[in-house]
Amino acid sequence: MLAMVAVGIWGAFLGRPLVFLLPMIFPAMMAVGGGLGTAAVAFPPVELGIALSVLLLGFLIAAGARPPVAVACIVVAIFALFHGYAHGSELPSAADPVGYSLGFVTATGLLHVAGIGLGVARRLPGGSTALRVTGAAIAAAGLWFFTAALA
Amino acid sequence: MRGGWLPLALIALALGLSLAFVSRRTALLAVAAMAATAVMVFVVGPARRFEEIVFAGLWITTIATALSTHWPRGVPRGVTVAMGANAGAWAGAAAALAANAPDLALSLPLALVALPGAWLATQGGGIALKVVASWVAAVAVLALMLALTPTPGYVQDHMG
Repeated sequence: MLAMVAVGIWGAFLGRPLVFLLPMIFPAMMAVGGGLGTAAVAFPPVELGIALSVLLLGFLIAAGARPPVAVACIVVAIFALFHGYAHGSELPSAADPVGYSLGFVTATGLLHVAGIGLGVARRLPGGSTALRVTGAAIAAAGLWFFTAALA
Repeated sequence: MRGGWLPLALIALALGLSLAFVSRRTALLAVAAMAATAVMVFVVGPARRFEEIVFAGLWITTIATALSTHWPRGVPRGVTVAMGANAGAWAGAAAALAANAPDLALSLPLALVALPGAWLATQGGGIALKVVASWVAAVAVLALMLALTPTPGYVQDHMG
């Protein structure tokens, strides 16, 4: 959840076109990852990938990183694959798969929108600093997830 | 569970989002084409052995229709009407396989989201429609890929 909000915040931080591109790319690549997960295709450790996504996205917000558009898209797309894989591998085989897919894609998208909403704060006095502090907090949570996943 | 209203609603929603970027007259023509072909295909009804093809066609059409929102300056009129007819055909076929006319009747009007969508696009909110269309495409990609898995939710397994 933190990673998805972080994608929204980072998108808002980076402005156009990434504020719109990232919320398009993440759910799309998540769907691909979900397909790989349900098909049980071999994949790198998912928990580590998810923890790393929270850590790195938080760090990028905290650092105010402004990479080229293509690089930002690739970073988000790779992390989305891990999140989608986790969802896909947890998809209960007796469930309604379309409803499940709709639920997780919509929830992901709305978390991005929530992140973009938070990211709008950068226009307020001191807002940019507040967002960077939020990014640092997300990165700290990511570090905790990462060490827990390694243990 | 494979049929139901969700696949029909998603294909109608994808068409509606795409129609938000064309003229109102073209949009209404496409909606009429969709309704006409949906009813015709529903009445004729595909054979049960074509179920996999019907659902694959429905999801591929949903993806292509949703992505057509990115067509520069809107989809040309002829292509738009053909898109509507194509969406209607797959929706009608899927509804016929489930013998579910009410789901078809309740889902297809979702294409009329094109009318408020067109207003939103003129107010500069077109990008929001494109974002939602990308989410619809993502759901369709996943639904399409699920058909390739050993026990998708609509096939009975040990819990069935």
